[in-house]
Amino acid sequence: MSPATGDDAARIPLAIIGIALLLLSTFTVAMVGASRLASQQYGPAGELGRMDELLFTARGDLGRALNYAVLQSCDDVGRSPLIQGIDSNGSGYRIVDDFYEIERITVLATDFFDEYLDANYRFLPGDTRVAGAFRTGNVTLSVIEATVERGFEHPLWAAYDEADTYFVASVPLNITIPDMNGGFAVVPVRIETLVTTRYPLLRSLAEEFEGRLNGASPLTLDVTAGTVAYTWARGYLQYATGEPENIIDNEHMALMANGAIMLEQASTFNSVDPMGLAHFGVETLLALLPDGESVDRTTELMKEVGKTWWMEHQNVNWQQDALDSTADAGDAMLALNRERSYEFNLSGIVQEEWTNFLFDGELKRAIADAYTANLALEIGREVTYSYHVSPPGENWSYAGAEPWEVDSFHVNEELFFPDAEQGYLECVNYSVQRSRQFVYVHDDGGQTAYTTERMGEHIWLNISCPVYSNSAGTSNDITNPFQAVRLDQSGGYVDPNLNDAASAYRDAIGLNHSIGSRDSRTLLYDILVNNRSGYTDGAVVLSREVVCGHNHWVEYLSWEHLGDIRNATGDIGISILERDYFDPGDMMIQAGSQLDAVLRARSGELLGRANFTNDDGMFESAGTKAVYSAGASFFGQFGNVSGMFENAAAGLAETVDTALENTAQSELDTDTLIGQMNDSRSLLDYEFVLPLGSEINLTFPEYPGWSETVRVGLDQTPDYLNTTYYSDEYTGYDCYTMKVKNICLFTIQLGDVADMLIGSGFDLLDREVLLLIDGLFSRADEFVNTTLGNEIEGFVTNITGDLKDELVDSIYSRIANDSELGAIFDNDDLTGIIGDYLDEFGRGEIIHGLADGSLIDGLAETLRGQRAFIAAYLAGTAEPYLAEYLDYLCQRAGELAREACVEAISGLMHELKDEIQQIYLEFSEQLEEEVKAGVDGVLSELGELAFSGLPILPPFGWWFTINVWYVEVQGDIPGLTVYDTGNHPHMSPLFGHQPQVYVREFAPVFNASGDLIGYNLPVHYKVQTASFILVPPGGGGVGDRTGGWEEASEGFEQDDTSGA
Amino acid sequence: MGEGNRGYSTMVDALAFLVLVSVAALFLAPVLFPATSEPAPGMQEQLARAALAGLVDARVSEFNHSMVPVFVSEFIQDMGVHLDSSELTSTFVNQLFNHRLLHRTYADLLCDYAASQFYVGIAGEMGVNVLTSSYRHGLENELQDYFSSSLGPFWAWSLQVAWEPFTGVPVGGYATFGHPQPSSAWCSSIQVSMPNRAIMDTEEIREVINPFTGNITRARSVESVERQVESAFEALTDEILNTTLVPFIGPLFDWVDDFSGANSMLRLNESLLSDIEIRQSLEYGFTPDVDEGGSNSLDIDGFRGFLKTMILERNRQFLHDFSAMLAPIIESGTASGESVQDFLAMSLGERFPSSRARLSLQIWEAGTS
Repeated sequence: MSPATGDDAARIPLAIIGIALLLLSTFTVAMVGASRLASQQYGPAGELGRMDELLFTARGDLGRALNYAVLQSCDDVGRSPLIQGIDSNGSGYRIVDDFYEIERITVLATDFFDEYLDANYRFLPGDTRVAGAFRTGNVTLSVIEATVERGFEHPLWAAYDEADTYFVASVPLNITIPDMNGGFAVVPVRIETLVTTRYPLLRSLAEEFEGRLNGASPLTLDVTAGTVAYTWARGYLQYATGEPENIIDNEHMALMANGAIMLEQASTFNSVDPMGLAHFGVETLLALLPDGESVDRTTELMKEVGKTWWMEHQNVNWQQDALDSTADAGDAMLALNRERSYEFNLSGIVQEEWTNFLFDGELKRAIADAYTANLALEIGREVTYSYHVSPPGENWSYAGAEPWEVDSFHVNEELFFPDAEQGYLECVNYSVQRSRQFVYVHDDGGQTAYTTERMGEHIWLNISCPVYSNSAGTSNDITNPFQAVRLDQSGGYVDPNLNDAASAYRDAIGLNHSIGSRDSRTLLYDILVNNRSGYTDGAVVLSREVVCGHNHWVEYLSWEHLGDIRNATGDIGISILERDYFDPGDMMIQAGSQLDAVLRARSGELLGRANFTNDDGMFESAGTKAVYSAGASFFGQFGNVSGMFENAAAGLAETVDTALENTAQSELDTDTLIGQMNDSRSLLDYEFVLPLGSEINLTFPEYPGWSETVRVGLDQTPDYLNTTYYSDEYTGYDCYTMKVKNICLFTIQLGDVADMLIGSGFDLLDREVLLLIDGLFSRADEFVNTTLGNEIEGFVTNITGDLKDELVDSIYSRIANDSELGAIFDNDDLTGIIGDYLDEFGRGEIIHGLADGSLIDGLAETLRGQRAFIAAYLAGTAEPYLAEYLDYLCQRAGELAREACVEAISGLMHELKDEIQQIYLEFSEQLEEEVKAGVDGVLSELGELAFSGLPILPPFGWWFTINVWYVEVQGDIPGLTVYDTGNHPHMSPLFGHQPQVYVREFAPVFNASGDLIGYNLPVHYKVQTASFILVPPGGGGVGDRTGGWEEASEGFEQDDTSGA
Repeated sequence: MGEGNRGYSTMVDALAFLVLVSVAALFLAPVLFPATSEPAPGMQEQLARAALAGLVDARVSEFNHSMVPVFVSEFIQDMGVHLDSSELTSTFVNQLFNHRLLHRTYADLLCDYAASQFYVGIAGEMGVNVLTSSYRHGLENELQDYFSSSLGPFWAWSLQVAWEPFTGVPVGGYATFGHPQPSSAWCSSIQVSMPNRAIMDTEEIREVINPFTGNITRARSVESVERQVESAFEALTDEILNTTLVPFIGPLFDWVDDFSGANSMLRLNESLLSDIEIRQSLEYGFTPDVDEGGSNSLDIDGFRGFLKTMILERNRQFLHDFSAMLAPIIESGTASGESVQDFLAMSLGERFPSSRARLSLQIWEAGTS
């Protein structure tokens, strides 16, 4: 019973419920099954999934087709990139960005993609899933940039660390899909795909590579480093041993430049051309090693000889290559690494200033200054009486006054003060009566009346000397300046001092006790009547400087003192290590600064003031001060040593700049040159092991987690860039793959430089030139009837024939203009004296005497020995110190003759410049023949006498010798193919796949319509640089003695390198 | 009903209820709890299609294949370089002969493989280009990985790629990967773009065939139509072989000429030449090489002639049927000359589908055969 109702009839049997459940289950099964069937076959959700699937598949395949289209475009464009476009006028222009390339690729890719659409997405029978795809816009490309991390980096100038790497291509399409109703649904889509070639990366790298080969570029640093290596390794050995004769050789330059270009390949691509590297090894052996001559230069050789010998020379090591290029790498290493200390002393400057001081009047001026007094007249007036007659009265007007007239005067007192105790040298007291008349005119105009004014005065005229002996920076520092003194401590000489200063002053201003006549009144008259303004009481007027007389022992002692200073100062020197001062200009400036400091420190000792003064610092006499002052004045010439060296440094830079501009036609300047050398210097510390396809890591900042590697392969044609004419079989491109020029800027063979060097100073380069000629002349029998022999004979004839006249003219010109010697010697005297001297020399002895300096020394000594001649001239004079004066004049004549000789011989050398150049040229050529023939003949023995270089710096001494080589390397790489060997995106029927390439070679470039749009061009490179070397002074200097001053490889005269 | 019967009746109800619930459960069970190991009809097709579509879209981040080492050795020695372990030569070798592909789709890899295979199905299956043999091995591994992850462990698969640039001629690229498929396997296929572009577009085909079919609308018999269509097709075949075969396969023959070491690897086996028809065709195309014991080496001109013969022969029936279909249309005058020419160009051009290949995937339950 139901608890609720208690009616069992209301109960539903469980079986009924079970039947209901069974029916419900059946229904559920049927519904679920129907639903599944519908969803699989007919349902809306199933239709949508099917269309999505069709679209998904179509999008995927169209993306692939788009990738293929762009791949093929990149393949085409990579094989013939557009480097030089043609504008509407048909003129070529350089493509400077990748805009045109992307444009080309998109145009091509659009065409290619259309072909895929036409072939695969139109009217396809069978199981085509979409009815068609129609492009609604052009293919566009965007770039994915990667961060580039290289295993091999250029140590000074790393390649860019970012590069375009991939394209993403996209294109808008309408895709038509068949629907269930037999119609079509049009779905607009944008297909976007990663293009699976790294063409952008290859182009970026290739562009960067060419950029690194031109202008202010890493290649410039590389070539500079190589040039420096060769210059130094071979230059220092030449200075030490005389060999090699030719320091910079074009074959070496070509080798070095090939290495530099490969270094840039490695720095950019982390790879070099394997065959190029092998050839480099071969060429290194051939060019540098002694046994290289016996090796045949062929590719076949590489497998015949075996791997070891050439593989050992594949690495780029300019330092070692340069050492190997000498005949003796060991000695070259020693010479290179020798610690060179450059001595800078003042001897050259002292000699130059000594001459100037003596012969330009400086000594005379120094003596005169010591004997100079500045005097003045001080006036005192005291009126003793004065009266004036009254004017005439009314109706008379004052019309003026007549001048004062001296009515009478006399000297009351005259005082002399030899020691200027009162501040005056002399005081004179006059009593004066003077008068004058006033003029009056009557108002009627007709009458004149006079009245008289009378005055009595005492007038003092005091001669003062406020300043005397103002020299060497001091004045008024003589013990008894106005008295003659005997110098017991200085040879007992009598010094008149300034004892005639007052009289000299009176003479100078015209003051004596006379008032003159009425028509010719004197200074005294004017002072006494005070008609002129200024002669009032208390006035100091008529300042005058007077030079007092002196005895000639002053010149004698001054000469002695100057000689001591000259010798002591000339010995002052400092040494500087080259390694501390890479820039010679900096080294010179530093040398000047250090010398200046030494001079300042030693000035007191050298001048020896204490030797000339008493304990109070007062000079014993004007003469002693004159001697001191002469020394101080001479010493003062060196006060600007720093400035001199700075000027010399600037002069060096200017000289090099001029040579670069005039001789090498280069716009390089010294600053740039020094900068390049400084920058590249550290490259010499490296031995570059060139990579053959090292991995470059790429990461993509915009896509975190994406990284990959790339290995680049290079194929360069030809494998080795040499200086012979090259014709590319494949492209027909003709060119010089490498043109090398080196110019040794400072060599006598060179016109402008010869002008600059020859005659710049006999003691320097002229003497070195004459040493070579003397050496050749002494062995003239070995050159009889040769061009060189004839040149030497002609030179000797000319120089000996003209020498006597030139010397007489020069010495006479000097002496005639000398204030002290001019009156003593005339032309005939000198002709006789010089002629007698030269008659003692034979032709060869003259050259020898000029070369070793003995001829000049002898001639100076001859003039210095004319004591009797000079004494005879002075016999009639009342010279109290004749012996001393004679000594002085003889010394002076000798020095003057020396200077005149240097000048005369320098002039002669300059006149004979062409002959000298010709001798050097012949010598150089014949020496080169000897070297090539392996003959160790007389020319080889004399080779180190053939001076080359620029002595630094006449006329201030020879501190070091410098030479500069200008180097220019340029050319084309006719074929350069860059392979992405880390990705092979292009299908190859033979190999399965092939890599993306980027080819630089000469080829016309056409657009899709077949129109010429420009050219692909070979990679061009050009470097201009220079290197210098410093060697110590003397010897033969440093420079190319064979091979000519300018060595240019074949074809360098052509401006245009493209031969196609 | 008495009290005693009431208890009995309740028991019967309960038993009946339990029986009916159990029956309902038996009905519902397959629906509510379907067996996961037993695929439902349609799911197989969906899986196959999805896996096939994935091949077109999914990319392999890196794929490598290399050439046969024996060729590398001979190739380098022919270049005059000693093969050793130095960096120079090893790098050189790697750069030349190891191929690395980045970011390519599976379909790319399959199509590129087909395009470089030089399959010649003359008498038995033979891939001529043995240089790319490691390519296949790499592909097999990649595909195995792909299908393992996309299909799971319960499905077996077989994938075919077929590139037949000359319809009906067994020359091109064919390859099968995976397992032999049972007859119950579900097959899904798609056409995909090849790296090779279309040989000619319709306009170019028209230019080639027009000299032969320009007057076809005046033909008054099937035989006349067929003659013109056959002439046009032969001219088209010549043009296509000249413009594509030589640059496409030519490098292989050049390479054979250049490197004698590779030549021996590219011999046609004498035993394959059993078919008299093929033998006669080859007599024109393959130059006897007496030094190699009478085997024949490949020659591009001979191969071209051989292919032309094959193409014409294998399309003869198609051309006959096509002409028979075309003749009434022409005779009826319902089609313009221009449209007939277009139709001809498209139809004949379709016989050279070089720009697409077919990918076919069969899947079936693993463990059945």
